[in-house]
Amino acid sequence: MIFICAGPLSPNLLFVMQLLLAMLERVHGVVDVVTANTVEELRAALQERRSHVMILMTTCPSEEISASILRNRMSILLVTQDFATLACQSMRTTGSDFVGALRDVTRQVSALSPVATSEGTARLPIAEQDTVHAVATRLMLMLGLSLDDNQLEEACIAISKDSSSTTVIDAQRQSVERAADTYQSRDILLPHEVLLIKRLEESYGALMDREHPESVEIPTEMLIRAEPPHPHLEGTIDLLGPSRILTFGPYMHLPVGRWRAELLFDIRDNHSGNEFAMDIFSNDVVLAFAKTQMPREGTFQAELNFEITRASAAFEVRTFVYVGAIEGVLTIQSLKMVALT
Amino acid sequence: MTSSAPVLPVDLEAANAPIRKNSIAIRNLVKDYHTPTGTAHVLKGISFDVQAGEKIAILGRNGAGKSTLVKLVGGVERPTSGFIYRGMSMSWPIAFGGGFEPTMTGLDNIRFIARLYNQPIRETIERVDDFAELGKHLMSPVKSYSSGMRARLAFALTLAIDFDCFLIDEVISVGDQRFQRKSHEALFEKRKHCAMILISHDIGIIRSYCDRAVVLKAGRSKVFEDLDFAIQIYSAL
Repeated sequence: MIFICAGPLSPNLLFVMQLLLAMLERVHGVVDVVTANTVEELRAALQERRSHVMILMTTCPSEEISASILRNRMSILLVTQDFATLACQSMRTTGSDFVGALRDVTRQVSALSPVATSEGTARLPIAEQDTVHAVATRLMLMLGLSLDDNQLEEACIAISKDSSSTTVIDAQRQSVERAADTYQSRDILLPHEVLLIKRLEESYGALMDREHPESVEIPTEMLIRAEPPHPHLEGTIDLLGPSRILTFGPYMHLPVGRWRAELLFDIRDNHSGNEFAMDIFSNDVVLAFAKTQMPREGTFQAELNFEITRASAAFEVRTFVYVGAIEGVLTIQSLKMVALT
Repeated sequence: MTSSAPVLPVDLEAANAPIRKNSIAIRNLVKDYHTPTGTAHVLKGISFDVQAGEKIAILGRNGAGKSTLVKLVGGVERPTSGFIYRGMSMSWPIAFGGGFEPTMTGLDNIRFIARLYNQPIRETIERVDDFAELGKHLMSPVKSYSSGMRARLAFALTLAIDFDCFLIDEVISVGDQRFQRKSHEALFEKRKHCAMILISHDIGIIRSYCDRAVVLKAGRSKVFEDLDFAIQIYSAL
């Protein structure tokens, strides 16, 4: 018997894992807990299995492990949390900076897409002010577990170390590793960071609502200026200079599938003519490339179709001025990834 | 999408720079040619300065308007608009043979130009003869010269007159290898105190002798104090 808990790494996911373990132990005794994101990791875990009951946690499953789970029609419990908490959890776990953590969240969410959007997946509703007992009851019903009241109470107290009426957030602060630090980081996010998270959540959040997003808006500040010291994109780009790469990044992730990149840009003072080029780069491969003469001035949209085959591989949208330029100013207005059916 | 507003020069700084007495100053130079297919706007507001002793490179792809610019600066053609201030004596484009009277002999052409530039005639003839190595051909009408001979005469005549500033359009392409070496030495070593406006696709020459560069693109220009940066742009035009 395998219970699959899927979701980006979060205090909620770790809490549910612990609670489910406590509940299953009261019914089945020894229970194996395995974290696997690749088929190899899963095989290794299965070889060391001690019990016929197992909880499999996956936070960023490979295409192979997702296909394997879906092929076997396993029941999947999707546990997620708001993007701010996910980003702070990533910062605490991976040690990356804020932007790096956002990229990591898009990696996990994109990789989870096949599992999250499958029919056999149920999302566990969980709020910070819920009681541990309420979550345990929900789990019991969703997974069809048979625990009597005493067993349920014992499992809750094992997690909350107090009483089953403790709130989820308090129980997590007590029992889940790094949860207290994560929530502390979340409380001190800067306003512009909160805004950036909100924009990403609007696009990627659909995946955690078990829907495939129609489009993903990439905040332009996630792009990186090619000129040292490689600041995040802000304002205009002076084209004056040799042919060169102008911007790269955002090193974010998209679910597997066909996409169209739509780059809206503004040109002015391009009187002597320049060539503009753009490509999509992922997994060491240029997925799409286009080059065009830049008009003298105006607002234009460049579109490139491409296919993502590995969600765990970050994608880049790179822009270039393809000839030496003595004048001209470029402003990238927006970057949108539209899902193609 | 095009704008109806007037197009400003690329290089406002160069266009608005004050003009010094002993300099060549080019301001908002425009050159249009009327062709059967319409007006060709070859130069669209070129501005730069050359100070005494300074060597400036003109960089640009074929068709960017470099040779037209040299002809305008050298006074061979007139600009459509804009002006050129010549505060130094300036050569015609080196190796430019268009000013010769073809029915006159090489010697007569030398005499004519020496008088025009108020140079001692005998000394000028000797200097040209010594440098061009045309020998008895100087007695023949210029129209009988090969293009190489005509270029050598023009080159030698340019060097025989003491100009403050030389206009050089691909100097190295004149004559055979020995003549090219001699031209190189005469121009860049013996006259290194002179100002020069140099057009060359040879990056080595540009790096060796020039202080600044003007990059021409689609008839527009930008002055660069950083020669390496200008060469990087030129290399990718």
